[in-house]
Amino acid sequence: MNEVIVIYAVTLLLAWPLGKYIAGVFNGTRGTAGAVFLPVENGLYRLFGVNPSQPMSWQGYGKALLKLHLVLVLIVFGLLMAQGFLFLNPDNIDGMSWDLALHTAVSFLTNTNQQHYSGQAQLSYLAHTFGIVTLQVVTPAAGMAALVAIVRTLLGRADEKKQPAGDGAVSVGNFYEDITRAIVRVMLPVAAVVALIIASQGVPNSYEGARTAIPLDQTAGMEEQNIPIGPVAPMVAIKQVGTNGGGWYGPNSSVPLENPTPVSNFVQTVSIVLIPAALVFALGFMTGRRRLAMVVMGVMVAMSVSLTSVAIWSENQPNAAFSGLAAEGPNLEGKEVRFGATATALWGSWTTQTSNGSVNGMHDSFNPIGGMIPMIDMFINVTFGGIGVGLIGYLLFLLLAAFLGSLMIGRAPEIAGKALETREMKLVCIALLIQPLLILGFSAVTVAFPVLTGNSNPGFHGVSQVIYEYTSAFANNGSGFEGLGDNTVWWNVTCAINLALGRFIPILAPLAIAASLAAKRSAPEGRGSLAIDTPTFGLMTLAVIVMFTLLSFMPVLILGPIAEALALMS
Amino acid sequence: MEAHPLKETVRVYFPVNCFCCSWRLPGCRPALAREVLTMALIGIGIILGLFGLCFLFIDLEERL
Repeated sequence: MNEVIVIYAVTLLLAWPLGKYIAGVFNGTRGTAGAVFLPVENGLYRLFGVNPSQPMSWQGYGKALLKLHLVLVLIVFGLLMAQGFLFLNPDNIDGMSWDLALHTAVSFLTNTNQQHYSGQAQLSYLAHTFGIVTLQVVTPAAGMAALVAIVRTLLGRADEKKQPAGDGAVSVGNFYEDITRAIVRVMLPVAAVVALIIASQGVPNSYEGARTAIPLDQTAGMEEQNIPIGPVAPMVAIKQVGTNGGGWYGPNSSVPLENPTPVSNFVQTVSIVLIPAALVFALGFMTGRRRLAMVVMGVMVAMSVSLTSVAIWSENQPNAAFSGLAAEGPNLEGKEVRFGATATALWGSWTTQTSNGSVNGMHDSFNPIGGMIPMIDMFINVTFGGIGVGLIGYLLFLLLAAFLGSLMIGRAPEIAGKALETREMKLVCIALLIQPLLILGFSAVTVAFPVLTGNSNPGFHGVSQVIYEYTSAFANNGSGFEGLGDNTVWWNVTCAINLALGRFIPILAPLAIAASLAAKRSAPEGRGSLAIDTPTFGLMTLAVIVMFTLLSFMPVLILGPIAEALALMS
Repeated sequence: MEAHPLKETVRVYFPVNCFCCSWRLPGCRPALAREVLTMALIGIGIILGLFGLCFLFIDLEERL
């Protein structure tokens, strides 16, 4: 248990200075970092022919974001289908089927990294390093850019002047400048540090083909074994710090080659939450609203600790199959004994709180209540959340709480001196309600037609497997209850729909809301204003998040993990 | 008789000559190429459709 407290403490202590640094990056603070990185950024602007000082309206910003992603997804889709013909493929790996390539490209494009394939066996080095890793760097940076645009527009400093963009619309910033800074000054340096640490622990880093080993024990009939290697360390680093989650090897961070030592496990666990937590502190530094940042952090930590505690407790209970036996102990099915039940439950909880999705154990093998926690984490999806998008999602709940809170005390709804009106609330509703609509809709159809399901468990656990898969796709998480046979046209296409809409609508709608609010006349914040930086309002926001999640998903939780737990108890 | 590996993968993989022996599906190449092109176009169509929805959202927002 002590290791859990230490990991929480170290992560939050590192997140504070990193948050301050990130705020400086986007506030244009000149310093050593600026002097080092600015020439690189200017070179990139010239290379791509973009003007970083051109202000953009929210529509322009959103379209620039979509265009970049569209180009990337088409390139990666083609690369995955054609990898069998291309170079950097020493193990002669074939191209992917169209539906698997579609799912994989959209999955990595949306910072999800849901994998319906096994990386070491079905991706060439070219596809890994130039397709997958490129997206693993660009997509978290895009999330960070969108967050910065929303925060500076919605909560920007009062003395900050809004520049008109073209036809007098409010400027939300410049997408190209934001994403370039996020990549060059944040994602790459942090990933490089983590890559060096884990490479020093023994994670492979080579372009040579697979190694051949002769097993000492040949009783299983295996005379030699191919051990795939490759440039694993950089990919694992960006997979963790970028809330990506897609590993080089199929079993992800439970493989000794991907996570060899206690030190690598510690560093990777911290890396999962580091940047999402840092962005909460950055919110305070960027806007000058540090009390608000502390309240947001308080709510997120409260959700994180309470859910993680339940997961750890559950996984330290015996597996039902061992009930009453002398060997009874923590549930170690599907876990690396190197890590044990507590560290695996902590990872499982954090990886689903942050939309990371990497695993160091099999979530499918968690006890029913332990398996329910990752699902709840992904339903909420704002307990830290993915880079940028987690805090964007929290701001949506904050708007909803401000609207409901204002009505409860009989005031006209407002936030930061701006009136919350029909248009903004319609957008909040679209962004929030699309989640249960897509997850529950696709799950219902899939469960109704068993031929589509392909799951390994027909009972309550089978329902959990289906719900988990769509939830993971919509939450842009990527982890899975891997008992599911999910490499089929149905799963690949429907998950791709969840992935894309779960990524872009919850980014675009808040961007539109922020611009809409910024265009309104601002009433000075005074004693009559609704204070959003108090513990009371934090509690109100927490209540809204909990109520929304329970109202949307309690029935499926009862049909899946809760029914399974009750069945095992009886 | 054991099927040639490509026969198992012909419906799902990009059209390739067998990497080890250059074996090609006899007389089926145009049909195979058509099939693969169709599959790739379906994939691209779905991608464009999903992005179209997102672009449409930006343009429809004004009407809210």
